[in-house]
Order: sequence, then structure tokens, then C-alpha cells
Amino acid sequence: MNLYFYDGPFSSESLSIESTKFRSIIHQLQCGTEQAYDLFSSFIELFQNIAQHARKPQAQDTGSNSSIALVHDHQNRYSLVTHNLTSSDEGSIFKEKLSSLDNLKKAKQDSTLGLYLLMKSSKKALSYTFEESEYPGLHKISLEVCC
Amino acid sequence: MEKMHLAAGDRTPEVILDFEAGQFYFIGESYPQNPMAFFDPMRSQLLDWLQQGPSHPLDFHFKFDHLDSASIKLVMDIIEEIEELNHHNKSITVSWHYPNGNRTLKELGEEIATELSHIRMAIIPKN
Repeated sequence: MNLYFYDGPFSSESLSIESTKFRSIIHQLQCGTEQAYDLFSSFIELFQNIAQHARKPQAQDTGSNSSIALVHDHQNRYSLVTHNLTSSDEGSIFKEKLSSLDNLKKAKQDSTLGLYLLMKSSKKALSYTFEESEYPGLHKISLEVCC
Repeated sequence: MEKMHLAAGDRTPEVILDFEAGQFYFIGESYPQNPMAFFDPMRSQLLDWLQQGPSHPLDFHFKFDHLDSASIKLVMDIIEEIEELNHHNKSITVSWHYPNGNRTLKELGEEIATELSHIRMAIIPKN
């Protein structure tokens, strides 16, 4: 079940508005304190990740290619799922970053603190897909964090 | 140096730098629009003052409810710099207060603490 969906502009200003909305949604959920903290923390990191790293196709009027959703499954788990476009050569870099998230100090050195936080908040390994898109030089990346 | 007090914003923590009393507080949520612009001025002021070698006891209290990754990096930088300056003033204490139930913030505090070799950082749950 989709509890939250956003595909508007991913800017710092919109994060202020959406984080407030997202927090009120969390308050209405039947989830524990730890789960609520992890969901909010993951939402902030994922939103900022798209705001900073998502790429846009050169063609005009392509609509939104980025989104973030909160999904509830039958096992009472909540997942945050994002979709956005990224550079086609980002796939191997992202895979390498994910495989080297050893500890906080290394994450700080490697500038992967955001991914490290997501990994800590997620109940299972971060999962992602990397697929071709209709835009030259760009791939679609989706990331899922399960809290 | 004059006491500095920044009220909490929507996405920024309350900050109290009471130089005379030696009490320093960071309280609340931190995911600022521009983390560097928020943290750097107070960090510079704090470090300039610390480098003058204050001899009275200093207590740093990090009481965050939420920290984004950019804020974590800057807070870690501040704590590491406090540790370096601890060579000159042995009466520095650092405490990391995390909201009860926030496992991630608790574990972050514990990981930061393990990296420190010259000061002990207390990890304290708060309700």
C-alpha cells in the first residue's frame, strides 16, 4: 500500500515542506519509535540524495523523472523507494560505494555518509536496480530502504 | 568572549556557546539547507577561542534528535578538533545524548566515541 508519494521538485525548499508532511504521516502509522526514527532519517537522506545527484535529460518538458514513495507491506514493514535518473557510468561507482560501507570513519573519508546512514537505518541490505533509460547517457536508478 | 545563543530553526539545532561558563550545547534537529553556512561560523568562533587555551573545565553536550549526513560530518569535525585541543586542557568532557529508541544516533555516537583516543565521550539516552 502506498502511503506517501512525491515527484515534485527536489530542492532544499521542497524538503522543508515534504519533511513536515512526511513526519505527520509517520505519526499516524502504527510503528515503533525506532522504526519512526529510521523512516524519517532515511527520508531526509533519500530526498537530499535525489536533490544533489539526480540528473535531468537535456530534452525539455520530460516531466518528473524522480520520485520517492513510502510503501507498507503485509509483514508490517515500511519501505522507502526512490527512482531517479543518473549518469550511465554511475552504476559501477554506486556498486563500489555500497560494497565499501565498512564504518563511520571510512564513510566520512569516502564521502559516503549518506549511504552509510541509510544502511544503518535499513532492516535489510540496501537494494537497488540500475536500468537503461530512453535518454542518452542516463540510466534509471531505484533504491529501496526497508525500515 | 560573549555568549552565543542561536534559537532552533525548522531544520537547525539550538546552539549555545557559553564561553565563560565553559558550557556548549547543540540541541535538536539538524538538516540545514546549507550545513557549511550554518556550522562554519560557530565552529570558527569556537576553535579560535579554544586555541587561546582556556584553562577552566569545558563541557560539550551534543543533544541531537536528528542529524543528516552533512551535519554528521561537520559535527565529527568539531569533535575531532576538540579532541586535538584537549592536549592543552585536560578538563574537557563531551557527552552525546540520543533520543531513547533512536538506535542509529546511539550507534553513531558509539562509533564516534571509539575513534577518540584523548577524550572520553559519554553516550547518554534521553527521554
